[in-house]
Amino acid sequence: MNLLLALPLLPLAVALWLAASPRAAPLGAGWPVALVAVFPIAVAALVSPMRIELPELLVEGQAALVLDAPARAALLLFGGLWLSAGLLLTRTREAGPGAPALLVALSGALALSLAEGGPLIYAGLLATGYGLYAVMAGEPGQGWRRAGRMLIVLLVVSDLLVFELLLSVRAEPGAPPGTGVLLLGLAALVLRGVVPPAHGWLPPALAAVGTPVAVLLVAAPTGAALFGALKLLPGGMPELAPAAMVLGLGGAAWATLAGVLQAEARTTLGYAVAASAALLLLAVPAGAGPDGQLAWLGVALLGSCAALPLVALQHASWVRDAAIAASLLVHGFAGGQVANHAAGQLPALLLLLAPLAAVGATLLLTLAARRTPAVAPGDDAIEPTRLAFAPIAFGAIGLGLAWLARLPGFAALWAAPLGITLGLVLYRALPFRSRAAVLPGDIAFVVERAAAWALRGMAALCSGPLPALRDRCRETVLGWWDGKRWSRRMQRLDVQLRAWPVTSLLMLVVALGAAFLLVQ
Amino acid sequence: MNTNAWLPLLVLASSLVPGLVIFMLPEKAVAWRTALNLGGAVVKIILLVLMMIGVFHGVQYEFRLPLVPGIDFVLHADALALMFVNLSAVLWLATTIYAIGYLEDSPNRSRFFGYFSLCVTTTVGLAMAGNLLTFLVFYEALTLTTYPLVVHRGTEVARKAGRSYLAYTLFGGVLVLAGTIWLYSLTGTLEFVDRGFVAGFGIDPGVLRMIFALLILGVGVKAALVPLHGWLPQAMVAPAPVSALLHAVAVVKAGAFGIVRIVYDVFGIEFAASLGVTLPLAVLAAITIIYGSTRALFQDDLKRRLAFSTVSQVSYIALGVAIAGPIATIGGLVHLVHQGFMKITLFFCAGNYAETLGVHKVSQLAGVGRRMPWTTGAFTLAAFGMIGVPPMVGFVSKWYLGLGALEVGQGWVVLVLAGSSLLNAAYFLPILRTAWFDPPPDEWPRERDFGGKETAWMLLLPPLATVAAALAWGLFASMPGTPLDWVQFIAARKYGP
Repeated sequence: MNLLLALPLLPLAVALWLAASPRAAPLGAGWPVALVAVFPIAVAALVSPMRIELPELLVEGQAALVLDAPARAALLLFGGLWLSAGLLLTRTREAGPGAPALLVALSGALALSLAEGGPLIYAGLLATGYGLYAVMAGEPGQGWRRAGRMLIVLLVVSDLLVFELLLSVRAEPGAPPGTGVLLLGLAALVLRGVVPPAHGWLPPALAAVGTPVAVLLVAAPTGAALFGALKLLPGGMPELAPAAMVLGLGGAAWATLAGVLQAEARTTLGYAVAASAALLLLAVPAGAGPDGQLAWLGVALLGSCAALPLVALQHASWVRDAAIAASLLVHGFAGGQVANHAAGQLPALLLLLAPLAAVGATLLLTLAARRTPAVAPGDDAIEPTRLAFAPIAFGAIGLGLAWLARLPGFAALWAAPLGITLGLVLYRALPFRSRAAVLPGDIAFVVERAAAWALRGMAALCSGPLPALRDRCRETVLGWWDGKRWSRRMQRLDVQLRAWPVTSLLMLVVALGAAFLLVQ
Repeated sequence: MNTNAWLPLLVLASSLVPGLVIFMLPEKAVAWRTALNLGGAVVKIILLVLMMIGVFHGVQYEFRLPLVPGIDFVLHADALALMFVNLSAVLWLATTIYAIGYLEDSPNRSRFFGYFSLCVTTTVGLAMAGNLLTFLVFYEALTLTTYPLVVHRGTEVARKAGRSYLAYTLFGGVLVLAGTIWLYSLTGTLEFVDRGFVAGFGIDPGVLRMIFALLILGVGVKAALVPLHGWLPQAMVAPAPVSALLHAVAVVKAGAFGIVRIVYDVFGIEFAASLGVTLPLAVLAAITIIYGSTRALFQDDLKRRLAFSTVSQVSYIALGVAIAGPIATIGGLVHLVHQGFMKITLFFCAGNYAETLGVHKVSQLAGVGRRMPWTTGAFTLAAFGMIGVPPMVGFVSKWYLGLGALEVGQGWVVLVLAGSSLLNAAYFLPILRTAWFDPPPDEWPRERDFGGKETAWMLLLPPLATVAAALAWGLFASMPGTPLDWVQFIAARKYGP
């Protein structure tokens, strides 16, 4: 079997084996996940560019699997994330998500990484999205439920928009897609990529799930949206720049402000991810750039964010401090480079805003790191603590390869020190909060309550007045055809007619008719 | 008369003869009944494969018998008919296996399986009908053979549902009869012809519109077009195999197939479009799609939710036909097959929940995925297919319907599809969440022991097989030999030079 074909199929095969075999390793075990996750990393690192046509797959006859620079970046990111989560699951004592759910999500992510041709990309996006929901739903406790509901709604709407985009592009082959169609695609990726205002589910979800799942939720949804965008909206879409600018800059500002007002590390991290996602959105209209530069920068940004839940499992030590410092530096430099990448699409007056968005994202990550407590000296830490370096290492590789593609100038470098410094200053300057000044998820729960209210109203309407009205109408209509009722009516009419001087009336009618005919 | 002429009759007989023999078997003759049922189904499939190969190579299979002066009883196996007959035959086999397991200890099994076979016979006859009168004969016969299945349980609720079913479908039959007589009086022929036969007679367009309305509303009763759908949710009192049969194989599909025949082979799609009757049909189908999905959203009874889902999904076929374009036709016709496989899987699974755990309501499904993982896995895949998630077959149908609509400039249809998908997700995903992620109860309402297995293998095998087909045909949709491939062959005939 071709290597590329085996990549998404292997996790599915292992998931099926685990689900079907009662004697297999316990479903919560992390080893199968970690071992399978090594495969994409190895392929990304070792295999030369490759392409396999799959003309009989799905509907288009144009599906293919391609291993190019963005695909390598995606394989590295997703492989690294699942490797970290899998290894963590082998060490934690808490009940975690089932291995089948993790593997299905991984399979979708790998299919997305390699896919070419709309429906195949769509399938990868779907499997990743719903797989991640299943991963989250495997968590013990009920804290994830509300956030999970929101995620599902966002995914469904996003899927529909992607479907519309694919249909519209396919309906007019050869013609460049219109701005409206492209906006549909952009909106879809905003909804599934944790970009504000569609970020509300992540902070409360992160606060409710265990560390392995948090590692995935921090980076996988945004990563899937980024790689989906790079494939569905291929490079050079200047028409999208104004919309991306509004959503990206507005989203980054929103996330930064709300993130600063949080009290907990995980929720702050959720907002840091939202700010990073907004920054990436800003750069999407510029395309992937030379050698997939934006894809590698995405790996760096998201990998550094994914390392943060891991430092909560470590004792205070120089290793932990080094991990945090490395993570912040990688994030800051990558953010600056992304802002630089996006700057070409921005009007001159707003050029400075993109690096400021990068500063905001790094500032939030710094705050999240400072708000993350180390494991107390008497408690058990997860060993080895060096696990946290896995996502950072992938992030650093991503940053290095992006810098290889295009060397950074000063414009790309200043965001990191400024963001980290501001973050440290803010941590000191802000008063201690036991509760967040802005609820995690901010407007999300307000929207959810409004939607739930509307739905309940509709349900009440459908189960109360509407069926009653329908039944009344049906009875009326059926009443017209009720033989017994008609018979009674005719009898009544007959009796009434007999009471009248019927004969005279009939005679009168006949006489008038005859007179009329004679006149005619 | 050569062998080719007798083959359609043999296909009919392969279920008619077992059905008649089964009526005479005693209740305890389980082995004979099973052998006759399965033997008939397998023979039918073999005959159909032979005929499909023949039709692909241009062979004509037609049986003709004078019925009344000027009109023959005609069985004609064209590509469209074979598609529907194949669907019925394959799903009949699956449903028979399921029903054998489902009704293991039930009374009146000979009666049940006898009518079951007759029902499939009439469906096959309806599919192969070569003219409108033959179609009408089988259309009415289908009503009469399915009625005993609907009231099989014999309860007051079942009898009431049966009466409602009879009232609706006989009313539909009367409309078809009126349309048929009116059409014959004007044209002197009722033979189905590719691209229709009514165009060349110079009939007043107003009259033709009236006839179209009569015929479409007549078959629309069985296709459950709103507001003629009321019988379908009520008929859910029938046993699960009957529900599966009504929704995926016989009655509802017969109605949808009737719409296809009337539009393509009576009026002809171009002529129907020129009469201006396709747009109202598309609008009616769109209303049905949204209405059915909305009603499904608020049903707690699992089978009722699935019933309203059928109301919605079957109208995709009518919508695809009414959009009038080759690509939309592919989408509509292929959905006839795809919806059948997905919906029968869902009904099999609903039956498994009811039979194994006594669970009938969505609110009782909490944690059922842990107790019955294979059944729930099949249900999950089929539900994803209904939503239109790739790589399930539902995606293929929606893809072609959407593309077809855009091809002919009817963008509003894409919005209807999107809205329907959204509603489908809204009523299927909560079921999946409840089934997989909610904690199971301490005790199920009426749990049966199957020796450590999740359920009987005869109940488990059919949904797994049908959902595997739905997955494979979606994933490899562009391969030769798939339903999509066959439907493209049909569309080429209906639209080609």
